[in-house]
Parts: sequence; structure tokens; C-alpha cells
Amino acid sequence: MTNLTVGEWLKQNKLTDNDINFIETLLTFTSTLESPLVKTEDINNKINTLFPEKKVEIRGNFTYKAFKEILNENEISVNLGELLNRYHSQGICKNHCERLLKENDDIN
Amino acid sequence: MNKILKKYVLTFMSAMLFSSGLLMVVPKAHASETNASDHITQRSQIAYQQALYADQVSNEGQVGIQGVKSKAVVKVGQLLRAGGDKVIDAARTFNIIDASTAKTFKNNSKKIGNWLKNFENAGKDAATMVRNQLPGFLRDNTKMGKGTAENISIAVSWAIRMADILFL
Repeated sequence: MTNLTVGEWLKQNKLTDNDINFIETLLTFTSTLESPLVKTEDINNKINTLFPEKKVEIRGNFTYKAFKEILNENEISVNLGELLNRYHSQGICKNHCERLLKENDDIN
Repeated sequence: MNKILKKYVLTFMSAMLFSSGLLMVVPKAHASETNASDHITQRSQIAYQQALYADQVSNEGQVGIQGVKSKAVVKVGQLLRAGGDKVIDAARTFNIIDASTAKTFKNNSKKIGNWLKNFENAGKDAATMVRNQLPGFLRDNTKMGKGTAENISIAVSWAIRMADILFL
């Protein structure tokens, strides 16, 4: 991996600031969902309010596959395995990234 | 006879002149009252419009200067200026940041809390603005690495967006 931050790497991959904000919000909010204190419905409402132009509906357990489908549906082209590995290395949502990557047997 | 006729004519003409004078004076008086009334009405309307305009300018000025106060930014800023434990503990509890980021965050929480005052009126875009601008502020005002600065920016933005559930 290069010395770029995840944000810099995403910009290098031609993602817009809005898409980067969307990915970070999706990742941090779904990490929050791993606690029973926060409801899926509240997270869906929040994401849809913050990004009304995006199509998101989180149902039940948030998986690697669901993450990939949301990115595809919103035409965000990025290598999800590398993205999660970079967040994990940088120290963002480490447990969440690890769980998602393990599901896909994609951890570095 | 002539004298009588002259008297009659003079009386008649005087009466005519008097009545025509009255007819001339009454409309003038009425017109004068109407004009005064119109003038007052016009002045009132102007004063009202001026007051209304002043209010609009004042209100627009207020909106322009103050914007929509974000309770979330105000709250997160207050918590960070008070040491940041509540925000940093929440970010650790939900595994948003790792222990190393949390330590640097804690050491700079007051500085970040003070900087957040700039975004109290930024409305619904506050979290996005903070996310985009905080790394630059941390780079210029601390010695932390760019990865840690980005992590803290992500955590502060998350805290603002989740504030109504977690802190308010």
C-alpha cells in the first residue's frame, strides 16, 4: 500500500467529495449498527436524509455483499476489498472492516 | 326707483358673490382636508414600507450572518471543549476509531472544539464541511500525521451526524 490516506486514495480513484462522504457515512453508520443501541430504521432514515440522491436500504445484518450492491447501485466504482483493507490499516472502523472482509475472505 | 333697483341689484350681486365664495371655499377646505388625509396616509404607507423594509433587511442580515444554528455542532463542540471524553468514548464504543487515534483526539479535543465554533451556523452541511476542512486545520495547527488527522475528521463528522441519537 502507498502512503496515501484513504481519502487521498479515493480521490486518486476519481471519486467525488460527495461519494467519499457517502462511503464514510455508510461505513461508520453501519459500524454503529453493530451495537443494539442504534436501530436500523434510524440509520436508513439518516442516510436517506443526508444523501437523498443515493439509493440505500439497509436490511438486517450489513454484509460485504450488501455494501458492494449499494456501491454498484449508486454507480460508485471502487475496489471494496482494497477500500476496507485501507480503512482497517488506517484505524477506521477496524472491527467492522475486519468482519466484512472475513465474510468475503478478502483480508490482507 | 333707481335707488331701490340699485340696492336690489347690489344685494343680489353681493348674495351671489358671497354664495359663490362659499362654494369656492368649501371645496377648497374639503380638498385641503382630503389632501392632508392623503398625505398622512401616504406618509404612513411610506413609514410602514420603510419599517417593513428595515425589518426585512434586518432579518435577511440575521439569516446571512447567523444561518441556521446546528444544535449538533454546538453540542459536539461543547463536549470537545469540556475534554472530549463523551465523544471519544462513543467513537471507541462503536469502533469508529482505534486507540491510537483516540489518544491523539483526546490531546487535541479543546483545540478542535474551539475550531468547531466556526461551523455552528453552517446548517445541514456542517458535518460535510467539517470533514472536508478539519484535516487542513489539524495539519496546520498540530504535529499529527495525515492519516490520524483524517481519522479524527471522520470521527467528528460522524459525531455531528449521530449527535441527535447519541448526545442530544
